[in-house]
Amino acid sequence: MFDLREALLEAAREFPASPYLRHRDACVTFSEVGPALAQIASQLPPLGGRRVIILLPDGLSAALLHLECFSQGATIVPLSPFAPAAHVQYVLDRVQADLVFMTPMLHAKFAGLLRKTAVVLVGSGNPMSLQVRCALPLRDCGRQRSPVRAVFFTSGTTGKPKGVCLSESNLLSAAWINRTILGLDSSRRSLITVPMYDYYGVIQLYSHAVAKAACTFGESGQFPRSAFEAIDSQAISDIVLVPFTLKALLDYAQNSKCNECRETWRRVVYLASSSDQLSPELLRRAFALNPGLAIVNVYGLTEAGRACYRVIRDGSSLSTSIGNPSPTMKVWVDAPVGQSGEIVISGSTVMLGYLQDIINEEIHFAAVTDVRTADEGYVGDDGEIHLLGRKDHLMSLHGVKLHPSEIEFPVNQLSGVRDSLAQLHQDGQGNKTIVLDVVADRGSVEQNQILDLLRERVPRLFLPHVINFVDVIPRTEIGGKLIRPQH
Amino acid sequence: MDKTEIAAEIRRFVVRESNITDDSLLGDDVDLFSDGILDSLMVVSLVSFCEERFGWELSGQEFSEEDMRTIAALATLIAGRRPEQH
Repeated sequence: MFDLREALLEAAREFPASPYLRHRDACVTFSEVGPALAQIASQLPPLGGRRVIILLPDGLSAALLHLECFSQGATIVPLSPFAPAAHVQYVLDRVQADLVFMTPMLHAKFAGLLRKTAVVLVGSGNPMSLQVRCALPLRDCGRQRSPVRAVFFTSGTTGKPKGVCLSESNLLSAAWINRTILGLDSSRRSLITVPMYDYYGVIQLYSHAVAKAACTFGESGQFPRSAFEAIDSQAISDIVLVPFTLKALLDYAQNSKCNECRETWRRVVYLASSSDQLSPELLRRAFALNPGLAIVNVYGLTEAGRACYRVIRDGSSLSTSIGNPSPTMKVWVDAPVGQSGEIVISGSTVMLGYLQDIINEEIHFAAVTDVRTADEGYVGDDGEIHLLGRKDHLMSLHGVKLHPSEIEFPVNQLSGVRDSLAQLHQDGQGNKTIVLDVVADRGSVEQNQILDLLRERVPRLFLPHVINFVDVIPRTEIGGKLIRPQH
Repeated sequence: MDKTEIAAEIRRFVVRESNITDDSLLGDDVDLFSDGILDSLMVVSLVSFCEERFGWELSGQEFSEEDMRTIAALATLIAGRRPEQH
């Protein structure tokens, strides 16, 4: 494991002029980080042992505050500045924060929720100006660090957000794993298109510190032209993204009149993708524009980050494999040999537990040793774990279970097929059958072809009763995930 | 409608959608991204509003984050575009 402050000091000694953090035109080199953090600390009360909410948009201010709060031993609770007021109130109540870092504009937005909470207004500009506003004296926490060093709130299947409690070791392990599986070093420059208020974004800060690599925040698939300009001007080697962003960047590179963008794409060396499986179509498009690309697909949850990874190159077999467990992690399928079951994770990044309560200023959580993912998978002949999808999307016919992806995946491999969706349909008499929607190039594939393929792949019971050729299959905006009913 | 009027309409929309209680803070040159006002969903809502309210076809155009960074920048973009012929 590593010490973050020591890692930053080492980077400052070895690569003082190298960029570490970038956001638009602003940059902080490794040698500038230490003085910047000292300047922040001089404006704040001691943070050790305090619960602090960072409610800021991506930028150097957010990044530096994350680093200083972590270094001082605070418990950090990142919160999206775009969260609805009800969610902000919920987190405030659950966490009982000592301080909330926010911009004056966000304070104007959420002022009604913060009458009893100390607020630190974060000004723009360099050096950063911080204004502490406390209606009541801050509690004396005696600088006792909590074992909980971060709480990330996820949506949870019950609809109530769950507070994932992570230790210092969880966070630094995830950062170390990230650095290791990507082979990050001082020559690399990453464009981080995931937000800093998300677990996936936060660990990029730490992993790039220990790797002595540069990371640029603030770009997204929403404005692909801006992203390509950053990739070009900053000689970006790596892009950290989710499949939806990859699609947005590829759409722009292929559909725009920007020849330079296609050239820029060819200079990218690595893609690190998480949050959902990459479709064969996306992979084909990415490699068509850049055959030299290495795509590292990482499987994990906030509750157990960076658990498995798979390196995909042009010509790699297309499969549902999530690869092999990351160093220090164990991943298995809870099922008899040869059958599918729930994927379970244990290891260094597994959370302490879900937040229960704050009692006498101590964070209480329901301790766990492993995480049951609610994802369905199986161990393939290749010894790798294959992800089928969410457990609650399983289809059941006459007591036999099958995940829709076991139909969709082979169909999507057919030449000309762009997308597919298998669903269980129940008629008025209660009879259940499979309906398959397919998006394909006109004339490229016929129903008989699909059925012939599926006869070799799935139980006869699950052969589609109806196959529809459609123009589009709905996917979620953010993750590009298929929108499925639960069974 | 001139640029000032366009900017005023956009400001009213942004204040309403983002629940800002003190709209005097939302000047024409406030950075809507750096100050946590615009996210990807709000961008889509704002573009739809501008298309509907000002009759401009923005979604088919190649506009960048810089064009939407401030109310002034967006008002300049809209004021400078010719309306689509229907």
